[in-house]
Amino acid sequence: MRRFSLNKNDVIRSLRGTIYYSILDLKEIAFYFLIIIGVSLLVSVIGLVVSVINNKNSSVYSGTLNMGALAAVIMVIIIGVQMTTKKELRSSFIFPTNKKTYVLGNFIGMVINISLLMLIASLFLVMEMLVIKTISNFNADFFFTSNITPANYLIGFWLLLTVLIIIYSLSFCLLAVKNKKLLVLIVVFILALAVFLPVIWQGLWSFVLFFVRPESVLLFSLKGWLLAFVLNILGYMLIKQREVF
Amino acid sequence: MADIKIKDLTKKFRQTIALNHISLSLGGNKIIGLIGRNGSGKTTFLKTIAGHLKASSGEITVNDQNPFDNLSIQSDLCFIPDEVNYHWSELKVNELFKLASIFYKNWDAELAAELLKEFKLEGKKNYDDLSRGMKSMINVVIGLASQAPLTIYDEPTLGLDAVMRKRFYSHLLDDYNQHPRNIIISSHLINEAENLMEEVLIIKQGEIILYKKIEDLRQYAVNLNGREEVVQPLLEKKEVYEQRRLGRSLIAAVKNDLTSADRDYIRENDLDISYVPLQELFIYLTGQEGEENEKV
Repeated sequence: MRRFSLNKNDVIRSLRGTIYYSILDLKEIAFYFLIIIGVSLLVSVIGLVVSVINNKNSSVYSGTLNMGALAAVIMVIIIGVQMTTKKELRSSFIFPTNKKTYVLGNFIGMVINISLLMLIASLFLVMEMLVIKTISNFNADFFFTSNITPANYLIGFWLLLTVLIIIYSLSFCLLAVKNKKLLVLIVVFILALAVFLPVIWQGLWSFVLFFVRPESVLLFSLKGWLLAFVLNILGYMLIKQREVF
Repeated sequence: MADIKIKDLTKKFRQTIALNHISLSLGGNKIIGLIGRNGSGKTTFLKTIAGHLKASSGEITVNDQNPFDNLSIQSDLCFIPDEVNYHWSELKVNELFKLASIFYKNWDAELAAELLKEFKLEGKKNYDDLSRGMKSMINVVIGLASQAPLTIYDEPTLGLDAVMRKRFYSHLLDDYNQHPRNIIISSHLINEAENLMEEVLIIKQGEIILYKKIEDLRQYAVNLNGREEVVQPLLEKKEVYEQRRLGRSLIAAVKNDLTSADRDYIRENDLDISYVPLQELFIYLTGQEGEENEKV
């Protein structure tokens, strides 16, 4: 006879399932991501070959990383935005979960997914570097400069991960707000007031600058992750009472 | 074992009343059928029990807790909606089962593999590439293998052919006999599922109009068949569901609240009497007011 039993493992099981569900989504995301950075690599190599043919003997390259970052930004916005849609909630809550584990599981899943996407972009960077090395071997006049070192690569990886997590959290939170008509009205009202009252505008701008002002990596990371957590908690509070149709 | 208590439950979607002042208790390990026409409130009722929807008023508890967004309840519950779409719909069947094995604590991987083989379903296929019937079978397998103490199926046999439906009922019964639990299953094919259900709830326009054991429901109404002038006097104080005239004969379906005097009258006048089949009874009970049941 099957009995109802309540234990702490329920939370862990639900969290594991949500994270795994989120990682399974990566297959689809990674497919488009690979196409984008694959095309980017191809364009980058063609550009390189053309510049060699035209006797432009020096180049600085990190095109794949830039394109990878741009593609990742677009993808995390899409994922964050669709997290609060009826369809997404319906497909997520087929399995035993609640809003808390849904938000937390997706957040952890996104950290893993973004890291994996960035690792894929890094692999393409290695391929790009190999092509450049090969060209420089065949052409003695050609030399290239690259400002990527292991240390700044790791810092860049971490900073980009932080930025992407903030963008994801912001998209999720904003779309969660969208469904609360009163909150939308308040936000629109504040923004409208800001147009006429410079004090409000300056206050909002200072708030944004607080997070994006160039400063130490550690401070930026602390603020960034704190902001991401706060946005996810806000998003959770906004969808907590949402029904699954 | 799930103990579901519903008190004066009403669910509104803006101006539409989907569930109207429902009060009942569904306890114990049993298979309960939820029967109703399209748009009668079946899915809303099931989703409210499953904790996907909130009550607009009244109260619903599963094991003394509000099921809405409640992980304690969700962890022991498997809800299979009539139509399931998974994220991005690019999941392979095997991945789906792996996912289910993480979420459901009592997941029976052996049973899932066995059913997959029996229903000739390919684990490597994308769920989205399957036909409607195949998708329904996958969802049925998940419901069976979840072994959840409270399993809720919303129209699980949609898209399944008669053979597959029979196999599903047979597996459900076998599995239930081995692992008794609370199963709620909504359907409009009451005649097919009647050997499965122990109790039946009939819902009409958001109201539970009948909640009975299946054996009581089978005797709920009778068909009386005889000459019109003999049958007609019997119908005067009875709840008549349908009357059909065949030449000089009249066949009337009436509620089975016959008194001993009525039975004597039937015997003396040699009237034919038989229980109304469940599917017909369902049609009589759930027909809209104004929809004429009289066939001449």
